[in-house]
Amino acid sequence: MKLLTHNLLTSHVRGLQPGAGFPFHIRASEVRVRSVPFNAAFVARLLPRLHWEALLSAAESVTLPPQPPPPDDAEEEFLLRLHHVLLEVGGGGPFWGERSSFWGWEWKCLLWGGGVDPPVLGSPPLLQVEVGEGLTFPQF
Amino acid sequence: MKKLKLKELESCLQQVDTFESPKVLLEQYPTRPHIAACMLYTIHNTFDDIENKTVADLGCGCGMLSIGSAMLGAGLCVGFDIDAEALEIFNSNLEDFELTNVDVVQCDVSSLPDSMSETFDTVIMNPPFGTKHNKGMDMVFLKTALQMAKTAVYSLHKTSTRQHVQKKADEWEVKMEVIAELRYDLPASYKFHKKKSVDIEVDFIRFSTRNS
Repeated sequence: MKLLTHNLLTSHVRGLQPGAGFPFHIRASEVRVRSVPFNAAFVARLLPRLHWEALLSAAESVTLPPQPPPPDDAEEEFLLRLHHVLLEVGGGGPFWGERSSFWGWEWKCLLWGGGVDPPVLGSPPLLQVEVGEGLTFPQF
Repeated sequence: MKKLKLKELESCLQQVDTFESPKVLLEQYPTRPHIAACMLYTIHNTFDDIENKTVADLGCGCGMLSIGSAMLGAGLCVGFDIDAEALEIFNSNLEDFELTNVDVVQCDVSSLPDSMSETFDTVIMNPPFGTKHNKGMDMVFLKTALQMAKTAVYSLHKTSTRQHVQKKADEWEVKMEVIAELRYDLPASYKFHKKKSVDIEVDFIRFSTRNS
């Protein structure tokens, strides 16, 4: 499962805070990275709908592998990194949910490589970046 | 992205593997490639509800509609189904087609929480028609789909139930538009089927949510 799917499935859950039993608990024993064609327009459209806290903790719990090299353009670079996190990092599926729903699912993913790189997205957002039509979002 | 023609889409979808041993209680009938291609082509060309969108496919089975959506340029398509065997075939289809913009989630669609509101731009589905000890299952799927969709839900329902579906749509305050009446060719997949195949009349319906 991709982190984007994870993020969509965790969204709009009232009364549940990250860290306080957010629906999907990810236990990263295995993580897979596969390349997905970059679609800047799609990633940009997702921005306002993402749950940053959930994404950050999800990214941290899968201990993300290194990011792809950034191109020159800053916005493009951000979107490319986001694309990587949301769509290229994933674990093996499918998943079985307890109580016949997806609550409390564990992420049983494929073990990623031998070494573990330091998380790239683990730290809380520090920088606010302006993008396009005045859209503001945190920078990893 | 290269524009896919209807014929090309259909011939691609003919390569999709479907149920090896369909489960009668889950009403597992594959969406035929021709119908799937026509549905998806219309959703894409007439309503622009696939390209760069997040798409959910409820009761996806082996993934006919998800795979077609992915080919038409969905940003991400997520298939939901309860049956692990079907999802395994789905996953092997994904590998064969080398599609990377599709994800699969195993869960019971009828118990997806209400709180998943407007998570996906578009929901596409060929729901169980609710004729095998699961009466009303199509409406349970539809209700879930309408909660999940930001813009529109595309679904198949038996033409004989149209009035009932319309009543529910009014009740839930969504706009319902029958896009096409299909002859749905059900090949004999189960032992209790006496004829080789049977045509049933099915409506292809677009439901648009309040926001659109």
